[in-house]
Amino acid sequence: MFGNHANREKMKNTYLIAVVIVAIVIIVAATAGYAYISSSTKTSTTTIPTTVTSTFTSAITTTSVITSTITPTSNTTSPTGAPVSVTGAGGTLIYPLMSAWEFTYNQLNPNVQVNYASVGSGAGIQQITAQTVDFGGSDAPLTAAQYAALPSGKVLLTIPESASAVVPAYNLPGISNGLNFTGNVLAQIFLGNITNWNDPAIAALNPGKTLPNHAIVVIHRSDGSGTMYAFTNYLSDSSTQWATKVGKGTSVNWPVGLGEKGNEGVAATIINTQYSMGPIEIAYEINNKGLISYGAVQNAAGNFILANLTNIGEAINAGATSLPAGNAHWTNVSIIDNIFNDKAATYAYPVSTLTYLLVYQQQTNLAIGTAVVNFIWWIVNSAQSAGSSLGYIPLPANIVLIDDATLNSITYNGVAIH
Amino acid sequence: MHREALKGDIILKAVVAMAAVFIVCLLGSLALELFSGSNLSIAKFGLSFVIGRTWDPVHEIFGALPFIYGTLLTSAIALLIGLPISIGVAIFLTEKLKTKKGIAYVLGTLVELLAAVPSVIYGLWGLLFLSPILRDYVETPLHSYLSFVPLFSETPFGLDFFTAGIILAIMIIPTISAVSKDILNAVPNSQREAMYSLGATDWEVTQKSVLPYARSGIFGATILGLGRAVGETMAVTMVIGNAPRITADLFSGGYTLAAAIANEFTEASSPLYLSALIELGLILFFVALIINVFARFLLWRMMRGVRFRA
Amino acid sequence: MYDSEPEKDKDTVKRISLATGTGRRRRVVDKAMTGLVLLAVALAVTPLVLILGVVVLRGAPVMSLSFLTNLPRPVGVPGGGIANALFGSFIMVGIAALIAVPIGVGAGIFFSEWPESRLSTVSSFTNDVLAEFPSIVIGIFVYVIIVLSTKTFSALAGAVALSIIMMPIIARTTEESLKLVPMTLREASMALGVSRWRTVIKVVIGTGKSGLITGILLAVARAAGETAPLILTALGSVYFPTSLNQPTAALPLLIYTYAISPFKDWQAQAWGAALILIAIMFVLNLSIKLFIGRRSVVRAET
Repeated sequence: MFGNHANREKMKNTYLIAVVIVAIVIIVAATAGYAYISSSTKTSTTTIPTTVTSTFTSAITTTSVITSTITPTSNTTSPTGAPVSVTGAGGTLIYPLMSAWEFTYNQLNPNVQVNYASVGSGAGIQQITAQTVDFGGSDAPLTAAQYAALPSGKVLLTIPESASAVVPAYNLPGISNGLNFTGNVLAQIFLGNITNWNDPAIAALNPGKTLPNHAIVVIHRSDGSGTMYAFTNYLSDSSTQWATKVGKGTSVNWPVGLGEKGNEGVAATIINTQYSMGPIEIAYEINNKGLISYGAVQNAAGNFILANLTNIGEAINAGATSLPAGNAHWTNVSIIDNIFNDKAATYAYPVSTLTYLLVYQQQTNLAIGTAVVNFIWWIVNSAQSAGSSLGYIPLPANIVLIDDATLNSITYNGVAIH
Repeated sequence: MHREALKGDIILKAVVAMAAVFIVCLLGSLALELFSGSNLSIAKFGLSFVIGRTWDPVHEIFGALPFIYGTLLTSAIALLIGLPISIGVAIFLTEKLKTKKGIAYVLGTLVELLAAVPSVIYGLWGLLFLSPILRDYVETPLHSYLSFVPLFSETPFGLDFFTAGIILAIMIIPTISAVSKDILNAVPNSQREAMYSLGATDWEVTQKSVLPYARSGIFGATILGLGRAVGETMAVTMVIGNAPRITADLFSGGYTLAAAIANEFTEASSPLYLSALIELGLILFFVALIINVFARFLLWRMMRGVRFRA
Repeated sequence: MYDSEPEKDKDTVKRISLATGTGRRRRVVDKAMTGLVLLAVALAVTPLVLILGVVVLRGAPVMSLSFLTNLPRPVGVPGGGIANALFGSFIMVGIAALIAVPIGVGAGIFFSEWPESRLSTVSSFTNDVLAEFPSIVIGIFVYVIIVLSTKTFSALAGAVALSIIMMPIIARTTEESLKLVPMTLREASMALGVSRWRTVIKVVIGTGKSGLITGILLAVARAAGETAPLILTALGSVYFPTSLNQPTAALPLLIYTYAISPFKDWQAQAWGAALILIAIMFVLNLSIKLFIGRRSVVRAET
């Protein structure tokens, strides 16, 4: 019934051989893996061409915007020199730059491995509140409710480490960069009150451009995001109707439009859908020049600003003049609010925002605490210009000073670490 | 030997029973966690959460009806399209390729490969390729000729219930067809031979003797496929448009329970918001419960009076 | 021949009379159904070819040995690889399988061999409900019970989350495969004096082996490609893990993070990683099927 005896013998032999082969493969793979692990934790595993390394390190150590008197040190090791693993979690906006930072920092300090996971601003705040990570990252400051949810007795410090901006991107045949918008017009579009591209409100801002007679396909983010926090912040400032009906937040109840996941989702949809428009980060535009057109937004001074690193930098400079101390509540901090009516900031781009790192003032582990402090110190003081090529804006000097003071206030057992 | 054998029997039954108990406990603790996590939201909204249509994180008004609707609609489309195709594939691989075992083997493995594609790749592929193709070659023609039908009346953009249903159908085909194929293969040849000897055609053999025997197994396969459809997050969220709407229009953007949880959980900024999202999970649990009760009832009616364990 | 009640004989009579009836209509129906079945196959294979095609086209350009053996690099730095993600996925799916296969197969055996038991009905039902849970909810669940209590993200938590996803699939397919083993085989075995437990282990499982394997492979494929449960459990990493209790990289996490980033080289790596994932599953699928035997299902000649 199961074949004759000779067949069974053959089957058994094949079976045996197969098992032996699989076992050998598993053993070899396991040994190779183990060898790899033990070698990679001791020394740097990279074989980067030296030209690239020097581009990074030179960008980092030269041209800093600092005037702080504290000399930036780039390779303080942990007290004992033993390997330290630092875990962070936070928003996706900063992730590309953070991955560059942690990589280079590991080159300079081989025993410190910083690992930042891109899970979202809200998750970053959730995780640092639950103390499952060593530092958090968020594109929006904590709300009052989130401050209230922190473990009692612990102070969470807010440390801005970079800046970015949101631009209105669109897909209009025949029209490239530079379509003009105002905050109010954008709000009306996203409210669903303006539905056609050739609406008089848009046409009035763009004399000389022929706008198509076609419905606007509105795209926005479906996942919660700090980018949307900044964008809705701006829309709330621009339109009381938006402020009351929708408001600002990482996730809002969008009146119209389709939601897509991540900047890439929004961008891909805009590329694929004619007559669509949606908000995306400036980093996307800078790294994909010419792929999607984006528009200029009118600022308080009345100028239509097409976002670039310079005018975003000007906005950050102008809006950061009255930031609180690191240990205060940053709930109402908003560059967008600060410059919304600032006519003196002539060329500032109005939808600019900071991103923040979140660290507890009282550290519970000396090695990790030291590594965190030194890493962030290095980011803020020595590594700011590394982000320009990726589309991030270096911090202005006054924010660096505030951050330095905040970092100096971090303690272990009551003693300042830095 | 008799006593040893009895001991062995008891041990086996005990061990596998423990596994079964574990599964019940697992679901129990999952349900418990969902209940405790949704406390805040249940206290605040009560039943209006289930029939509420507004989802506003800023003003903290939450209602789950659009998500429930989207989950049911997309799963229904997925099953409607995916189940016949899967069974067709399974029949082809077992009945039609009886003599060409090599081709059946390769084709079958290829279809199972579809199960290994990560859901985020499905989502990307859906967003970048499927959605524009469906929009231009299927939805727009349907809309221009049949827009008086409520199903097709909205201007299609490719990101809607329809595309989400199609992508889910593609995702459940490997599961249902792979399991069905094995089920059909296990049907004893005696069934087929009996029908053939009576002069039945291929299809009659399949329809009247193989399929009835395999009914329960195919049902099990369907449940697994349905499981994937109801719970799928990544792929759905990239092609459904993520707009909480309730409409019969297939070409409108929509939202599902799983997609909403996946999109907003990591960004939830307040305890009530988090609680509302967890309550969405709880509702999904109940939706799954109801679907399964209904399905089991269907199965019981199908299998009533039919005993085929030869 | 059939285990049937008297009423069914009328059906049999009807069938026989149909069988000897006019041939043309039945032949046409048969041809039509063959056409439909072929259409179904075409509809199933087309997206497969399209998806695989896109993955190969976009993923092949990044293939190289260094892609497989290097750690991830930041944007703009060439030479990034997926070594730690491969390793992490391997570890987590492996541990998940070690947990899920015994429990799943065990439960499936119970459902199939003792279907009359109350526990069996209840557990089988809850198993189906478990199968319909979104992976994100399972991830949240494991986050709450493991990550929050150990205060760290870990490969272990990731593996547990994946195993919960795998369990219902394995249990259900095991149950269905074993249920189809003809009763006569069990009866024959026990009539020969083989104890019940031996019958189940050697005869029933031995006969239903291929269905079991299919179920396990499906579950492994599913677990290998899931992102959502790993986001809040394994978290992801750019380094090799040195213990099971720290954030660990995984292929689907890497694919997800890179694919929705705005950088072309990262997106290319995402497709490359997807290609590797599918290729590994293909090899796994083929090799296990080849080794554990083709068509070991015995068609009972009753």
